[in-house]
Parts: sequence; C-alpha cells; structure tokens
Amino acid sequence: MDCFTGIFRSRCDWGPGWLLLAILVFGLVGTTEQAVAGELEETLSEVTGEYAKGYCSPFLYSFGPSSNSNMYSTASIPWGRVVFGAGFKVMGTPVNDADKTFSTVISDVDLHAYDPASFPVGTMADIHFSGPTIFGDTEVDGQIEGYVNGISVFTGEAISGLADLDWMPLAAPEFYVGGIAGLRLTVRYLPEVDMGEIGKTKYLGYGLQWNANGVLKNLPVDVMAGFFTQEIDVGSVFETNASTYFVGASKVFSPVTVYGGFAIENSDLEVSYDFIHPDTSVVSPVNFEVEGIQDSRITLGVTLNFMARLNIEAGIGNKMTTYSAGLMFGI
Amino acid sequence: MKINNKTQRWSRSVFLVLPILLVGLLLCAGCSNDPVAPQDEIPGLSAQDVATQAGFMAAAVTQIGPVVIEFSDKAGDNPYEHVMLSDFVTGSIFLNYTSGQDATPSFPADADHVDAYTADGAPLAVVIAAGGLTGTAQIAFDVAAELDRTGSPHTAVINGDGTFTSGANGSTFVFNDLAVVDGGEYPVGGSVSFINEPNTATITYNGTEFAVMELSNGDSYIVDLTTGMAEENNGG
Repeated sequence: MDCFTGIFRSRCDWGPGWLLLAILVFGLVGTTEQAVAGELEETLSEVTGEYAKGYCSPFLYSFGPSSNSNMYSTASIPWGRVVFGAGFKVMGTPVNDADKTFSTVISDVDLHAYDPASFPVGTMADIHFSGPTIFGDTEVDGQIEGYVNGISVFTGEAISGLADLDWMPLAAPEFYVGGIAGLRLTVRYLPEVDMGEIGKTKYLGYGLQWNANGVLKNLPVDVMAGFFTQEIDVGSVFETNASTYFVGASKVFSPVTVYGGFAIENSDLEVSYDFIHPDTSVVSPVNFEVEGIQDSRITLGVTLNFMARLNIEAGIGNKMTTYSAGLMFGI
Repeated sequence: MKINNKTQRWSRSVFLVLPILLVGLLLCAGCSNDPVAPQDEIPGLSAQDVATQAGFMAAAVTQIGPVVIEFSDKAGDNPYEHVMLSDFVTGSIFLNYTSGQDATPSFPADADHVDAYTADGAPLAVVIAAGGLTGTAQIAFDVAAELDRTGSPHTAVINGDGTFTSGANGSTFVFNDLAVVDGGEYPVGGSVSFINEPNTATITYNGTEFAVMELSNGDSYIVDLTTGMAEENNGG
C-alpha cells in the first residue's frame, strides 16, 4: 500500500525509469535505448557472468511478467464491424526492497583460471559477490571477495546500481485491427534501431484474440480467448522472449468496462556481453539464459471509454504482481 | 444458449463487485513482490578452515603476547600506545599499566598488572602469506595480564578474549593463562581457544616453535609458530 500510494509522492523513486518510459512513449526510442543499453553493457563488461546473474536478477525476473501485461482491455470484439486503433501501454512490476542488493557465493573455484599471474594452479576458493543490483544504489559499489580456507585472499570493487528504482518499468506502443468473425490482431512494435557496436534494438510482439459471443449467444458477459508472443532485444545485451495464453471476460457499465481473466505465460531472457578482465584486458564472452519464474496470472482491470480508451490493470501472478495502464485511440 | 434471469442477475452482481475488488487489490495487496535476487550466505568455516585460521592466530599471538611484558616506555602516560610494524602484524596496542591492589596507574617497569586492548574500530592487521597467497585478517582484543617482575626473566600471564576477522568470516578467541616471557620467542605455557561454532581449536603453547592444536572434532595439528602453518598431527 505504501508503495502504491507512493507513486504519487516523491518517495517512490521512478527517476530514470520515468524518463525512460516517457521517452519511449513519445518516440525518441533510439537515443534513449542507445544510452541505456550502452551504459548497461559498459557496466556489465566489468564483471563476470556469475556476478551479472545476481546483479541483473530483479530485471531478469520481472521483465517477463511486465511484458506479458495489459494484453487486452475488453473482451468485446465485433463479429461484423472492422475496428482498429493505436496507443501505448505502460507496465510496472514493483521491486522488493530486498532486491536492491544481492549476495552470491560460488564455491570451489580455481582462482588460477581467473588470474593466472596471481594464483598458483589449483588454488581453490569460495568467491563472494555482493552489492547493489541493477535497481540498487547508484552511489555504492559492489564487492568481490575471495576466500581460501575462510581467509580473505583478495577483495575488489565491482559495479554500482544502474538506476535506483522501486519499479521495473516497461512501455510499448500497441496497434490493433479486427472485427471480423470476432477476431482481433494485436501488434506491439518498435522499429529496429541500429546502435553500432551495441547492436540492434527491436521490439516485436503479436497476438490474436477471438471473441466467443458470436457462438455462445446470450451470455451476460463478453468472453474472449487469445495469445500473444513477443521478442524484445535491447542491443546485443538482452534478448527476451515472452508468451502468454489467456481467457478473459468483460462487462460494460457505460462508460466503464470491467474485465478480468486468467493467463498462463512464460518468458526467457538471454544475456550476452564481453567481460573485459580489469588487469589483463583479456576479453571473455559471457552468455547465459534465465527462465522466467512466473507461469500464470489472474487479471483484473477497468477501462474508461471516453473519447479514448484508458485502462488500468492488476496482474496477480503466481510469483509477481504487475500493474499496468493503457491509452488506446481508435474505433 | 439460454441464460436464465437468475444467472444474469448473479453475473451482473459479480461484475458490479469487481471494480471494488480491483481497487481493494490495488490498495491492500501492496506492491511488494517476493524477492528474487539471490541472498546467499557465505558458507560457514569447515573444521579444516578453522584449523588454518587458528594456526595463523596462534602465530600472531607469539608477536602480540610478549608486548605486555616487554613494553618499557617511560615517556608517555597511561594508556601507553605500542605500534606494531612487523611484516606479519601491524597496528596499535594500548596498554594501561597499574600496580597494587588499588590499581594505581604506574610506569610499565613498576606495574604488576596491565590491561591491553585494541581501540574500537582499529584492530591489528594481520598479513597472512602462505602457499603463494596473501590473505588478510584483523585481530581485536581486550585482555589483562598479571606481570611478575620478581624473577629473571620477567613473565606475564594473560587472560582475555578477542575477535579474529577475515573478510566476512568472524571468529572469537580466548586466552587461557597464556604465559609469556620477556625476550622469549614463543609463549611458554597456557593456551588460546579459537572458536567458530561449531568448531573450537585449542592451541597449547610449550615454549617451542611448534604448538599442539586440538580441534573439538578430535583432529590434531602441529602449528609452526613462525609461519602459522598447521599440519595434521598424524602421530597423535
């Protein structure tokens, strides 16, 4: 409750997130994503993959639930009247305070493999990574400590948080067309942007929804089933895939539409970057994949139909709760 | 498909309640998700780890212990500060010398008692070099020593406790009647218990370079007090 009401106060620090959202929404996509992806890749290049897994974890696990949000704002789809429209969706997944920091231990590591100049072959150690996560304190550096027989044999500074956020924000433009046989095609799309060394950034998602009221006549509510699948690449650092299959129902109490539904979903996220060893400047490619932890959700939402269609929605998942809103223009 | 009026009324009621439910969920469910970032704890020390650390602690004691009886500064006031600058141990030990039953502050040479301690937040730094590795640890303590200057050489018996910290690993230690001699290279008696639950290593001094270390699990080691290296005592 604190954090929800806190959206309207300064204590919920959305700073860079809001900026990112605003710029994404208003179309200055290339410049911002280039900056964000560039900064992220530069930051990650200072740490190994094991560190990056812990550091990025709040982002990695909330990305899927966020992107699978706000798939519809009504279950009503005409069977014989063409409809189309466009707008944008914004989603936010709250970041738990505990996710502002992380602590990872990897055991029985041969330090010689990491730093041949400093450690003899077979120097087995436990390595402890700790510090702010990607959404943690931007003024505090992380720490890497190595232990041999419990004795600290090296310590080093790692990276600070990238953006101190209480919410993991995401925004997407959305387009739809439909109205024939109860079908509606929905697309989320951002044009591909070539960011040079960082790679290309793109966002493409598509899905189909089908309204069943043309078959199941006289139902007191509109009912619908559908799916949506999307791929979001942030430079060459993140490649994400998310899919959701859902059933929903809605009822109009003009000018308000109340809707709800159930979905099963999945997501995965692949992280790739080059780790540059701080002492030797040797470049080691890092690549790992993380499976999303959320696989189902209940959706509850309200849509206000007045000139445009404005909706707010809570997605209560089996692992995460996501909040989202949309503003769509069209017929 | 026909839906009767009762069902329609029920459905309508449900959908009228839904907005209230939604608002309630938004306001009452809070916005905090379960944490997903790893929060691993550093593994506890194994018995072998405790033996290794206790060995270095035992070696450090050979440098720290004699200070209480060998310190002879007359220029300062209580507490005196002794700065250790060896390759092994660096930092300041504070020494508060007293004499008599009323604990009158006195010069070191006249004292029969000394409280020795490290300042809060300023432990001694121990540099551990072994097997091509260099490690670090910090020792903080607050001990008391009874000084005997009646014979020659002078002796002291130390009791008290302290902490041994290396990175995030912390252990405690207790001096049990640790006997040191002015000019002596190694403690001549007593012991130090090095504790990291559930393991305790007890090092018993005998005036030689090699002290015996017994672990609470029954393992036995020989500690070379010049290096701090602990070798398993297969001879029992």
